[in-house]
Amino acid sequence: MKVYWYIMRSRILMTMAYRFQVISTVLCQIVILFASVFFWKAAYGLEAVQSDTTLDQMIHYTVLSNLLAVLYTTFVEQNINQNVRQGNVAVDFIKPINIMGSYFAADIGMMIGSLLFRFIPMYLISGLVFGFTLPVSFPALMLFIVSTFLGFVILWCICGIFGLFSFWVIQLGPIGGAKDYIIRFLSGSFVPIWFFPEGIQQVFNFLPFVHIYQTPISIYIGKITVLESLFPIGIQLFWAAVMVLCLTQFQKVAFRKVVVQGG
Amino acid sequence: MAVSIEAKNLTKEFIVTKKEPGLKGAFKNLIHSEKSVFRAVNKINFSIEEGQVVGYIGPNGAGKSTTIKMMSGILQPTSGDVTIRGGSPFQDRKKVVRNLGVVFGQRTQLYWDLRLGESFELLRRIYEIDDATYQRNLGILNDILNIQEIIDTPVRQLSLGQRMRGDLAAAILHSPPVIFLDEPTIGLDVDVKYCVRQFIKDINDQYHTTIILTTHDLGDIEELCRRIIIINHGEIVHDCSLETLMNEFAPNRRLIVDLYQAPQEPIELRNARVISQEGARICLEYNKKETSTGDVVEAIAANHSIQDISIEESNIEDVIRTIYAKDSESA
Repeated sequence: MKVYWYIMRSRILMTMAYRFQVISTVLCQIVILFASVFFWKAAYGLEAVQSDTTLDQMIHYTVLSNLLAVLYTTFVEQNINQNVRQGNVAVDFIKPINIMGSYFAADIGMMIGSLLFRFIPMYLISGLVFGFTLPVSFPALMLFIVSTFLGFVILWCICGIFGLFSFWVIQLGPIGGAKDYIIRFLSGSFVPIWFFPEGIQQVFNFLPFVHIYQTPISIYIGKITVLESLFPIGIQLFWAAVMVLCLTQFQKVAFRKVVVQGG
Repeated sequence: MAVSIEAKNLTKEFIVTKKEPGLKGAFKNLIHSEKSVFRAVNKINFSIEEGQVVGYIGPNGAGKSTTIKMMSGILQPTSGDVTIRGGSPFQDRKKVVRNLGVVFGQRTQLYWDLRLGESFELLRRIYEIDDATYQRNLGILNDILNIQEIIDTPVRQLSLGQRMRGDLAAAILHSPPVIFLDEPTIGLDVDVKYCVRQFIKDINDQYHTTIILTTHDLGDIEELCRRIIIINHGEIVHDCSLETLMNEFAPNRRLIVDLYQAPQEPIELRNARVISQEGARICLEYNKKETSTGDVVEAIAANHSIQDISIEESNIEDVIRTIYAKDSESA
């Protein structure tokens, strides 16, 4: 167990080491965040939007969605792909540790690093411009944290499964990027799914994607009450378990396919 | 003696896709590519006892690295079995690799961006090495490999030789009873090479470690291995001691004799064959088992006055080259 803590810790330290990267990503993300907030302002201003969600709620939703995107950066897919391509999987296999476990620990470390050096600065900057986005209540904040973590697990497993495809195709190419956009679309990260037709919403609610972004954000801004949130959190738990199971099973198959590139 | 590593009918097949050349070929490959099965390792058997240092050699692409990778749990055998101290490295990966140290000369297991010491700290946690053992091992490694001087340098800034020292240290930090070295001396200068060989000798002496070494540097073999296994085209062609191999494939020794005066007529000896005779220099060959060097010298000295002699032992490289060549002929 110690080893996973250590991997996590060294990743946190690593995020600190690259100061230029930290500043530049914060700036980039801020630009995207501003753009999406102004999009919603324009949409509401034109009265193009018919919704019981207020503009204020929508701004907070967008700010939070962009902040979550910063936390939800996973490297598992990239790591597996790179290691397979360069033949470094060999090095992973000769250590007596759980390989996916060590990738997970690394990504959790990155997430904590992002929380400290990206999330918080961005939260402060956007707060000063658009007003601070505060959770509706303390229990809501707690549930938000739980829900965010579960969302992360779901997303991480999806990325992990994609990464494992490298064992067959060696080079993943643009599939990874396409997957990211599909996930962000299906998860209500760009446009909350309550703007979608009723039927589609019903379907989406039972898919895992909505529970990556929309569920935690809805809890935070009070779109759903604490009591109402227990059901989607239950579904989150269900999907997280299913995804972990899929990943571990798929990993077993993939590891049998190992070919070490380059001698 | 206890058996440390055992391979039974170990086989690995790869599926190779045939890529056709040119633009037309590239399009064809997109739709349909021809696949064929390539058998990299073909039903090999061996058993290695604890504390043995074994040289595992063969030409490029013979199946050496594939074998090592199956033994270290990276590749799953297509059929057959390999066990390390009784456990299967694929089914029981975590348990088996705990007793294993592996060095791949061509890649590093150190963390590229971190200082060397950081990688050691991680390994210490991976293998759950207690403090006292860790400090003691680090001390020993420092004596042999001079680790202290590079421990604070980020790995990406190390030279190849320094990096190899780091990798060797990393592989045995947890004092594994079995070590696989896959071309540990590749690309190293004589100094570092010497250091690496010394290191292998030392740990084998001190810890009775079982070591399998693949290499193209026959100096490594000569100095370190009492037993060699030669593999070619995925099959073991020889498994014996270096001495046996030399006796079988290079039974002859060469003697070069410089005389004070060039002899008037060609020299002929009962116990040695004359290969060349240029002026006062004569080159002779004889079987080292049947004839002693003293007898040959004496036979010449009976009729001529000798100024100087030198003996050429047949060299291992020639022997190995003969074996490789003979083998590809028959294949």
